[in-house]
Amino acid sequence: MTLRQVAAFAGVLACVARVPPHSRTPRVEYVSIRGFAFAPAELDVVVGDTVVWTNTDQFVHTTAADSAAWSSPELRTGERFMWIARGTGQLSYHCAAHPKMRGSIVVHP
Amino acid sequence: MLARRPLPLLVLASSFITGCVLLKPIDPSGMSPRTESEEARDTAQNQAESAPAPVEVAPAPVITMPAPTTTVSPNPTDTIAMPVAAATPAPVAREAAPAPARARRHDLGTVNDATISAMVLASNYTDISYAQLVPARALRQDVREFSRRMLTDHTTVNQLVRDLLAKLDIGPVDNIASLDMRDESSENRDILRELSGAAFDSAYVENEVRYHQKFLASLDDVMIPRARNAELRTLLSNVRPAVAAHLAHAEQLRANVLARK
Repeated sequence: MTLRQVAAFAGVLACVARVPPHSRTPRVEYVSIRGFAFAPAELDVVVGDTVVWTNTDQFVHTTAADSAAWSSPELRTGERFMWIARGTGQLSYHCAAHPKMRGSIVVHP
Repeated sequence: MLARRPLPLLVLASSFITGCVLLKPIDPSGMSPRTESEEARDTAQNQAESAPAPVEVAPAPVITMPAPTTTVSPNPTDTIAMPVAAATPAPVAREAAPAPARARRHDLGTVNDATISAMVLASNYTDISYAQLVPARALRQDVREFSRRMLTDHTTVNQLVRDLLAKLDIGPVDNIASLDMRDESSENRDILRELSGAAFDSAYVENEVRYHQKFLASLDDVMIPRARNAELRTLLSNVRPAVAAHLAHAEQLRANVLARK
């Protein structure tokens, strides 16, 4: 094995080592806002996934994490808001306009 | 002689009888004699009436409203019996002015798509009118935010209803229920207008809880089941979660106001 081959092999190993064991291609998960509720109300995603909320209700709503990890502006009918999961953990969120509307997202490694 | 002068004698006899009748002591009540049981019942009624009504002595802004239970008739155009709710003191708004003792009518009047439209419009305008009192009187920021939300959402509902009515070519027609809503709204506004600061916050939030309870009951018991047009029924069904969310929000706000959070 030449020195060049060794270096190439080491480089491949380094790349593989950086990839998390459960990694997969990032997905886009959709949450619909309708009937004064988030659907689905509970969602499981992986770090790197994108969550898109779409307001399909005829009333103005928002999506806002209790921890302030994200906070959308007021979404009118048909408007969307997206957020990319960067860290792991469980995040509860609500509609700032209607605090009884609640949802949660679990972000896995 | 009697035979020859019958007329004067008859006149004399009838005068005597009439005199007896007239001399009989007259019942000052103008009523016929009553049995003991009737007397006892009337005495009990008088005592009940002379006792102070809870509405008049309660310091809270009592808002009378029909109870959420209704008797629904299978005929879509007849009237619905609706019991008048007894007014109860509001636990939150102790600082507020007493409410006027007022009895609501027992029925809603004609119920059809046109009158249901008038009912839902009147319900929304009622809450809009309450919300418009808030900026100049409320103390708490969360109460102000809540009222802004009510203004936005109920305006949205009315726009949706108006758009649909235009599409269906239905004109809203008032019935007893929608007229009652206006009367009640006016009376409640009169109460709220006199308040400010913490007293206003309490009375407004309590009123919002009651208003949304009533609106929800009206949707569930009358408007949704009695709407004949499918689009109108769908719209009312879509409005229901909004009213339920508002009620939950108002109840949470009331708890915060009570706890002075």
